[in-house]
Amino acid sequence: MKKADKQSKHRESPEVFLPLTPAVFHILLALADRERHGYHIMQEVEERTEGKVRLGPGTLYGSIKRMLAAGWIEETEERPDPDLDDERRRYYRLSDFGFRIASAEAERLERLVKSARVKKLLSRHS
Amino acid sequence: MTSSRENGQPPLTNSPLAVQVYSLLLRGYPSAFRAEYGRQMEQLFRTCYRTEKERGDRLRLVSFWLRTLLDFVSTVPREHLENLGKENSTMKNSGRDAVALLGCIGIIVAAFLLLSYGRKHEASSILMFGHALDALVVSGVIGNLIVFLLVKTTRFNAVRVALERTPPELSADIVERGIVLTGGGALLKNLDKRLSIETGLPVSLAEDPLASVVLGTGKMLSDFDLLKRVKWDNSLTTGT
Repeated sequence: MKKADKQSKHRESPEVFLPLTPAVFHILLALADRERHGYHIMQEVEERTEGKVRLGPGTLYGSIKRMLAAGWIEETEERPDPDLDDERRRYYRLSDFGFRIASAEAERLERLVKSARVKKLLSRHS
Repeated sequence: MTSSRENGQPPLTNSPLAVQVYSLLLRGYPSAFRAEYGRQMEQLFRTCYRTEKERGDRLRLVSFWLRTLLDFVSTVPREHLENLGKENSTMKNSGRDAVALLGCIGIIVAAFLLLSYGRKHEASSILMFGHALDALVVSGVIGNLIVFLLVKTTRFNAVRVALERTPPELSADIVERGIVLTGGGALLKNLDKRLSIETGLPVSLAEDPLASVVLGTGKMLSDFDLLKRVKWDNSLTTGT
């Protein structure tokens, strides 16, 4: 019953799950261009935000666990560079639904920024 | 020690103190979560710690620790709550945990009610009883924590000590392929899962644990050449 619910939600709109928590959105963003393993995700987020957002191991893997369960991301079987790292690392990639959720969240944020611009909160761009 | 490092394996015994502390902290997470992600989290912490340390600043390390602790404190309750909600957790401890938690809350509430009732009516016997209940809860919680930690660390240590004593080539092999449980003790329910969680190694059961030692001995005895070779190997290693 519950599972069927989830399934139908999947086919419906990703808007149900918005807004996302910052950690979840950052992880989705990190996985948007390529698959990565845990440490890679953390590094990417830290670099992209210039050190402002730093995911701890608990936050990172807690979010990964929930996103895997919800089917937003999936674990990949093959490794991008098998020579370089050891085989215990697990790689994750965005699922189609995860991609839709991430872009829905991005659109939501864009609308917010637009309104902020109209209200002259972003003085540089007005 | 050195050879295990050359093999590219993470050194089992002499990982830095910080990593050991973190792997102790990891025990705060529910066992199912730890079984799934514990090793990765430890590895992540190890890598982060190394990079922070290489940058050298003591202040950096402190802020790194603070961040990690904050992360730990903020994520543990959530994992436990989600674990409670799950019916089919692998270790099936969640039901017991819930009962214990409810019992604790019940006793605390009872003590609180008694205390406030006693204050209102200035009945010292009830006040005393309330205080006694309070003390009971506190000592119970602390005692349980101590026993829990003791049991966990000692059992954990037994396997670790055994691993430490094995020669590096062999322990590297164990780290790679895992531990196989044999004998009647292996039939204890969920022992494999438990050991796997505690050691961070893959643990599997032998096909027929009760007979595996006998069968293995038989197999070895029937292959005389192999027996000779093993004996020769043995004298080589113990003779040095």
